[in-house]
Formats: sequence, C-alpha cells, structure tokens
Amino acid sequence: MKLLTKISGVAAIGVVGQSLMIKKGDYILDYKNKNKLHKQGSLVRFSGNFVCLIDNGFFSVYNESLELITKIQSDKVSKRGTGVLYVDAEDIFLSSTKYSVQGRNIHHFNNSRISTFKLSNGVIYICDKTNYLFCNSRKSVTKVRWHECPSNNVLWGYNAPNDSCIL
Amino acid sequence: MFHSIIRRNDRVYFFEESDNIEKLKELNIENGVVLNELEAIGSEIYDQGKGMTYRLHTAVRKDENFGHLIYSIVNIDEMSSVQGEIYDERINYVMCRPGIQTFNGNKLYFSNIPRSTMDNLRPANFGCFDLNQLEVISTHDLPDSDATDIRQMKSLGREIYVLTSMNNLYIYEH
Repeated sequence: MKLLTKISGVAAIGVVGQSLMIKKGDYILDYKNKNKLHKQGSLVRFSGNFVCLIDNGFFSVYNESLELITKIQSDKVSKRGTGVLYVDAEDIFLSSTKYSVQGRNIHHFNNSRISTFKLSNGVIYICDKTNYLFCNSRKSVTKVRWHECPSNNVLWGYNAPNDSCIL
Repeated sequence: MFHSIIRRNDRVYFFEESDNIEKLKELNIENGVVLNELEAIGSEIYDQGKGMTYRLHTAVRKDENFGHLIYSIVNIDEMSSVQGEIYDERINYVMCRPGIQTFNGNKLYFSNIPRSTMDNLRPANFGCFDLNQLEVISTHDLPDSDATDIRQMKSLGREIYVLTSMNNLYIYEH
C-alpha cells in the first residue's frame, strides 16, 4: 500500500461515476479532471452519478463533469429532503414529509416512515419503519398509493400505471 | 426487520431478522413466491459485480473486548454464505458501515479504531481483509497523529481514499 498524497482541509469525499469528488472549503473539486465548482456554505451529497447541493435557497444537481442538471427551490424540500435517500444513474429520489417536489429527474416520496429504499431495473423497493416492504414503478412515484402489508413477511409489489398489485 | 434489499436478475433478495435469527430470502417478484431462504448475516456493503454482501465487525465480549473479528460473506447467486471469527491482535474496534468500509477486488478495506489511553492516544488505522483467504493481510497506521477516527473510506480503480476526523484526505494506491 503506497501513500500517494495527502490533501488537507477536506470536509467530505465521494465517488461520482468514475471521479473522486472532494468538498474543500467553498469548492467541490474533481480530483482527476481538476474541474471545480464554487459553492459557499452549501450542504453536499455525493451519490451515484450526481453531486447534490443545497445552497442559497436552491437544491441543485450536478453531473460527473460538475455541469448543472437540475435546480429547484430548496424551500420545497423538507429538512429531511436535504438527505437524498437514493440516487441511481438517472434519477434522484428524495424524501419529504411536507412538500411535493417535482423536477427533472427528481422523484419524491411523501411518506415520513420510509427508512430505506432501493431502486433497480425500474422498480422501487421500500422498507418503512414499521418493517413493511413496498415496491412501485419509478414512473409513478409522484402518484404512489401506499399499501400496508397484512403480514411482516410479505413483499408487496405495486405496479403503475395499472395500479395493479402484482403479488 | 428488513434490510439490504437487492434486485438481481428477475429476483428480489432481502435480509430479514426475526427472533435474533437473520435470513436471506429470495423472492420471485412476478408472483411473490419465496423461492429460497438461507440463514445468513447480511450487510449493506454489496458487491454488485460478484453478487455478494460483505460484513465485517468486531465482537463485543464481557471479558475480552479486543481483537475478535467476525466476518460474513453471502453469495446471493448461490444462496450460500461463509461466516467465521478470527483473532488478530492488530484489530481493536471495527464497525460495519458502508461509509467506512470499501471493497476493491478481493479486498475489503475497513476502519479500525485502535485501543488508546489518555497517555497514549494512537492514530486511527485501517486494515485490509482478504475475502478469499479470510484473514487480515495488512493494517496501516495513518501518518496523521491527531486523527483518532476515520470518517470516510472510498475506493476507485487502484486507489483507496481515507478521510480522517482531522479533515485530512490520504490517497493510497494498492
């Protein structure tokens, strides 16, 4: 194991796509490509292929090249929404207990009980704090109707647009 | 309690803990049939390429707190697992958390908080657990003598990134 370098003053790191992103001071740095984004006092989350920021009243999403993809008013995102729950290659999923947020590539769950969820191959699998599991098509997440399972041991599938339970 | 939901091919896998017994369940998503289940200890640290979850942490014992490392490797495709415990005097306290553990090939890198006293504060270190040999093959003290905690570990390509509580980022090549 060979130590290559030391960088001081780093607040957070993340792997975004094939790049190491570094939050240092008021900047987000792409370590390899030397791209730089100036963002003062922002909350940052690195995940999947995105850099997500909350700063100056906006929730902003940048790609691996630190190009802006989406910007929405952050007062539409609850405090809990400052934590992006899940990000995959194309979409960002937020949790919010109060507001409905919609934006390009942003999907929103209005369910305060969500503890974790996972998206894969167009289906979302959700585990809430009461230990029930749900899943739904990603295309219908703004129209989610929540279904509690009759048993802790049952995984329910809920597949829009037909609103048909697939189990 | 459910955790670590995994979609793989046309199946859904998840771990369920009930009555202190943890099981991996394989589900056919089209019809909801539980196809298989396996008593196994899972983790959020999931290697999508290999279809494996890795869990590594120290055991808590009343009489002997240090050095006992518990591992669990679950092969999702084969519905099989390998579990065990080893003793290594270099190990003190290891937590299983995705932010401070990262895998690269057959290596699982983990944060280890060393045993310190007020008179002898030791810097944080990290170790490398070989997922084939099932043993710790190396540990590395950070050169930052004030860093008692590792905040984040990531890996990409041949590089390992270690961010300490003193906001120093160390970039290693393996």
